Amino acid sequence: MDHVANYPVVRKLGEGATSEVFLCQDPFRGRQVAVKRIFPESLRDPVRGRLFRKLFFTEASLAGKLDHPHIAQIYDAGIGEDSGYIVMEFVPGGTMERFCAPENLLPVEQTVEIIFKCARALAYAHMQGVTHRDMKPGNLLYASAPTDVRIGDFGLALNVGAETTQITGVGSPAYMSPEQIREELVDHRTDLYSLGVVMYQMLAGRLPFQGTNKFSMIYQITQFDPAPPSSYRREVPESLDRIVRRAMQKDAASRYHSGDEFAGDLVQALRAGLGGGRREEFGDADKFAALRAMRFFSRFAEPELWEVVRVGDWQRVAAGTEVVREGESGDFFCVLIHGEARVTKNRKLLTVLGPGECFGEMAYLATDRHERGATVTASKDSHIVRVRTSDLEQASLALRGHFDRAFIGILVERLNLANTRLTSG
Amino acid sequence: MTERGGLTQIGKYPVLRKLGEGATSEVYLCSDSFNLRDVAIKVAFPEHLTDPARGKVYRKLFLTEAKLAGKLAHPHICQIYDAVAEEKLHYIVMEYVDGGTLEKYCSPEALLPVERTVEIAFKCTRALEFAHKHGITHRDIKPANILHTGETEVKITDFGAALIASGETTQVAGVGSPAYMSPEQVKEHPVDHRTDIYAVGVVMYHLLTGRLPFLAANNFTLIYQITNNEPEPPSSFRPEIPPAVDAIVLRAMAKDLAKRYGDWAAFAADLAAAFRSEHLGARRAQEFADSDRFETLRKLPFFENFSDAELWEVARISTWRHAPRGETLMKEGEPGDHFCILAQGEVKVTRHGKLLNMLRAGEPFGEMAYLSKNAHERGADVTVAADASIISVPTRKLNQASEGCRHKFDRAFMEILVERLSMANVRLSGV
Repeated sequence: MDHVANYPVVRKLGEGATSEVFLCQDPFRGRQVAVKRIFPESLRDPVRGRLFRKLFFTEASLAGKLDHPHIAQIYDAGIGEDSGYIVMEFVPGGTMERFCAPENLLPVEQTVEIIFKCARALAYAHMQGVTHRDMKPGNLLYASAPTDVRIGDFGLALNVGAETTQITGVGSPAYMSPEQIREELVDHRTDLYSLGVVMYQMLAGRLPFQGTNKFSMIYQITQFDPAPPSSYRREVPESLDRIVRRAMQKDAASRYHSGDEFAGDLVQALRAGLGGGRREEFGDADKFAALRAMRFFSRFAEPELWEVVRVGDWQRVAAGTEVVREGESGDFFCVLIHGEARVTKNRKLLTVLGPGECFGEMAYLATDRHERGATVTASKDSHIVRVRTSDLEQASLALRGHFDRAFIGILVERLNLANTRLTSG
Repeated sequence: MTERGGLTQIGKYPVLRKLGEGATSEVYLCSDSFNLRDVAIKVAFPEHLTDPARGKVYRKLFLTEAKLAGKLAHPHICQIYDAVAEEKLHYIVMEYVDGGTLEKYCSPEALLPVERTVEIAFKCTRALEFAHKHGITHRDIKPANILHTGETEVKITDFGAALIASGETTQVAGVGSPAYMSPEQVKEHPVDHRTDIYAVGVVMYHLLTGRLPFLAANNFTLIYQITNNEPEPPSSFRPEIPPAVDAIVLRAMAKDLAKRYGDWAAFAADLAAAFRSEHLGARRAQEFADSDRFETLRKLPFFENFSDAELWEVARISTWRHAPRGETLMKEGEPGDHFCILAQGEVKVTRHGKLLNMLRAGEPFGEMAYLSKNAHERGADVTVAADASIISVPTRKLNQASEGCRHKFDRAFMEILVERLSMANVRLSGV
């Protein structure tokens, strides 16, 4: 095959029961893309074929609106007489399947990081009304490092997998929720269950339920509680056992209500320590959760917060460290995440800053080269995020927009204060 | 070779109906089920598509051109979404514009008012300047390549496609008319953006008078005239055309490159000036026309960093009016759902009778309605101090504008806030 639709094929990436995926060139946009070709059999059925066509576009358009750093973007989709195709972001690393084998497991902390990102991405998709329905390690791709994860095949599960799976008996029910197995109506919580199974497998190196055949697996999924992951890998802390158990509740109502809640528990577990001693580095999940809790970032949308995680330089500063010096030229601003800092001018104390407050922002706001007007010193051991103004200029319009709005808010407050003082005298 | 005429499906796009056809191409209205919109698809039928060696070169050229043109995102350029060069089928997927082309306004009984023609020409010059800055010359500007919607909204189409669809074939098969070609293009001298300037001049001539500047029984005579004769001024066919407009058309159509407009900016500036001139101004239905607004915005420092596309957006979402000295524009405590930018004149900002600020052209006021998250109440009175022109922007409309446009407003406001804050601080510490 040298073309899928009008995309020249570079090489084949993989093949499933109802589709195959190719690495292709997009000559118009000049980029590589992954193109999934759906086998014609799924389209030929006269009755189901029509329904399929309609669903195909509804789902593809919906999924195409998902724009999130941890979701593989869908660029286009088309359907012809006897074949359909979906054009997606090419994610070169591989899938999480690689890290499910007992001899190749990732460190617990990395796994938590990955599941956290997936849970956040699910929360985002669910908010937009899109349920995945086919979460499994094979659908979790990564770009460079395993923690650089992207959920693939969003919204397409219904079209490609679900029905055909049952007809041809292809596919494993291993990651399906009990309600999905019973063929009941499912909602977003089916994804949370499946993510729980993925987490289980990546922690324990085995599936929660193992049957010698599909039917015994189905039976177990609907009837039994699995042994906690820690029974297969002793270093898994109890907090994670609890999270997996909650995610995998058979009754959807007893599960996490949202990806948000799921992610929240993961961060708490991460912060409480996963048994590996105190961590010096900030994990992405950590950073994300810290930002989300701050008023300054309250209006930032999910994708932009992840961008801050990436763009910002996260530092611990010891009490007494001067972060910004009066009279020096400045090319960055900071947000205090944790701790306390003092702002002084000519050694006179101007103000004391707490978590969520920013400083040095004039470097970004002033159009000309800027000199610091005051000195900022950490008065307690603190965490700060440093953002270089030049990096921000390269960032997405949406991110810059959010920073601008946040700064405008601060400026407006200050100006109102000044005007009140000017006119009240 | 693909059959011409009756396509029902083009690639992944089902055909809704045929929109038109030319010598080497056909245009279809199709639906894009993924992006949920209608698109216009131009299918090219070049002669040498069947030639294996030239076919390959041609395909490459086709894609290169389409890719280049696809980068042009401008309100007055028809957007290219995709381009496909299969072995047997070449097509370009474009924005669908529902009004048709300017051809229908080229006959004497269907002419547009002079000021609307000037307006349209102005928009074309700005769009073509934008393309020129991206290194693209159109080479085939003619009424059939200018689409329109509504009153004076225009979109130039077939960028780069000119080369693809007709460049070579024109000379081989003699397809197409040289009526809009510049002398240098007819002589096959190297051409640059000034060939487009010439062509816009001819389009203006045609739209103003209902006839082409040169009329001939055959192409050879026409070519002779294009290279040798001076056209009659447009006003000789339509007396109401003011001298300023005559001069613009003749300058754009100058055979000598040294006498023609050298750049788009000069051409556009003359059009804007003609539009404002008393002669046309007296008959204008709309007090501030689009070109007027655009030119005004372009000159205000507040909008310094706005792109052309963003300025057009501002022109579209804002309302404009004159306000005489003494008029109160805003009152403290009133709810605010818009902010203003002073285009001309002077206003004073007071609170409890105390002067807070005196604003001059280019400065915004009432922006707190947009900037503050909760309080939408005016914090001060604003009164006209010297007869003013006011641009007012409803916050609701701005919130629906493009991300780029909102971002530019934010940056501009930020600068002003920083400035005002430091001024206030100086005053506070001085007291």
